[in-house]
Amino acid sequence: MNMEIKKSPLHHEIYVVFIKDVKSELRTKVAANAILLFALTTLFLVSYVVGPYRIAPADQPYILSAWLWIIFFFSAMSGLSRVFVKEEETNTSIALQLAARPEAVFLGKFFFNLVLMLGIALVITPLYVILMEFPVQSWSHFIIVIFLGLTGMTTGVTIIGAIVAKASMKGTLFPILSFPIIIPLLLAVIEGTSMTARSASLAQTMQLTSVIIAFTGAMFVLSLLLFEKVWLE
Amino acid sequence: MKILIFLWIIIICYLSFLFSPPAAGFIGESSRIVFFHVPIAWLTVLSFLVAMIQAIRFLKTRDPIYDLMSAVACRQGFLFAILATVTGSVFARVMWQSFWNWDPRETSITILLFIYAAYLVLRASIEDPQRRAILSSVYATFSFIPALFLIFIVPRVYYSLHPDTLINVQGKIQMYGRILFTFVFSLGGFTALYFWMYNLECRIEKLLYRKEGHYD
Repeated sequence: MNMEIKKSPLHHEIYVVFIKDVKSELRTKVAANAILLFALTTLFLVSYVVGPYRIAPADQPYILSAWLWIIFFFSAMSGLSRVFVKEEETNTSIALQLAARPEAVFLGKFFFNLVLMLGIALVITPLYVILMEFPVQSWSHFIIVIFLGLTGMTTGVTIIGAIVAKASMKGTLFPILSFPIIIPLLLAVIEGTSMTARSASLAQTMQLTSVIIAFTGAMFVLSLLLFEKVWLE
Repeated sequence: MKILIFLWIIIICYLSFLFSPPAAGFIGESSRIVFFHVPIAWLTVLSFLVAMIQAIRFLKTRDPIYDLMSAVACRQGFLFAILATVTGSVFARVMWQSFWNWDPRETSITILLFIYAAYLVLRASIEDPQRRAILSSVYATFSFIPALFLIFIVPRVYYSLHPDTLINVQGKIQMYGRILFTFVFSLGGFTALYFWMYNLECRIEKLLYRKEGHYD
């Protein structure tokens, strides 16, 4: 018995896990549709009831950026745990444990979630800006803040999804566990988004951006370290 | 030991109400709450640290005792977080005429409260003891990032009405004489009380664990 197991490079494994999730998602489109419909429903509701003209112009930056992130947060909550929950439901997690390294599984699923969230944002953000007439002053800052915020949110939430997949009451537990973890990030991101509509100075936005990046980085590193414990539990 | 701590707490009550003068710049006698509110807020953070350390020890050794100790720290931290929120709110009412105004410090303590609560919900929702131990330990470790962020960064970045704490931007202690003495005395007393409480509950958990051969 002198079998040598050839290990493929990590980036290849990550890619394979990612492609596997994309393929299985395209088969049913459950997560993407759930998130998108959730986001559209909320957007429709906010836009219908309030619209752009019922808020005083001075309040617009604050209220509109808070709403935008409420939409993003709860949309994420409705679908991002799916990548892990589905492995548990179909009992495929053991096969995946054998097939790929934990880091590869985590990164593959993280990138899948990220692409999903960014794709949703690509639909929702322009619609939101148009329907609510969000007064963006600096488009480049606006896009950067949205991108960093979504990346941070996905980073924090992916490992929580893995935890939730192994517990009961998955649907309820996911937002409960995620909320306190990413609320510091959300506060900074909402503040940052409102700044892009208040033409705040570049230095202020930069300070917030560095806070967001530091937070995301810390969560990313710790997730990588801890994921193995959850996954091979 | 417990008699010593009991006397210590009595002396703290005496010192804080009769020995220490009210601090300047605060309405009436309201500054006296600092001798209770700050030690409790410190214990909230301390239990968080203890919970995380025990969780990491569990993840390294897989000895269920450490998971139980981490859970004890979280349960007690939850209690301290509630007490710190309530005492802080009372002070806010006296000083700023409002129980709650989302000052950065108020926000931080609320979110710590949420983290503790989420941890306890997670524990309650998993049946299998080993799985529960692993998942809740991971959560306790992971939630240390937002906690760190809330305790050290948020109060720096956002403007706050909260009086400067011991660890302030200038790195100076802004208390003198009798007030400082009482404050340090109280901080020490509450820390001793915490370790006594923590130790007691850990012993109970260990006894239950040994008696039943499994943990619950």
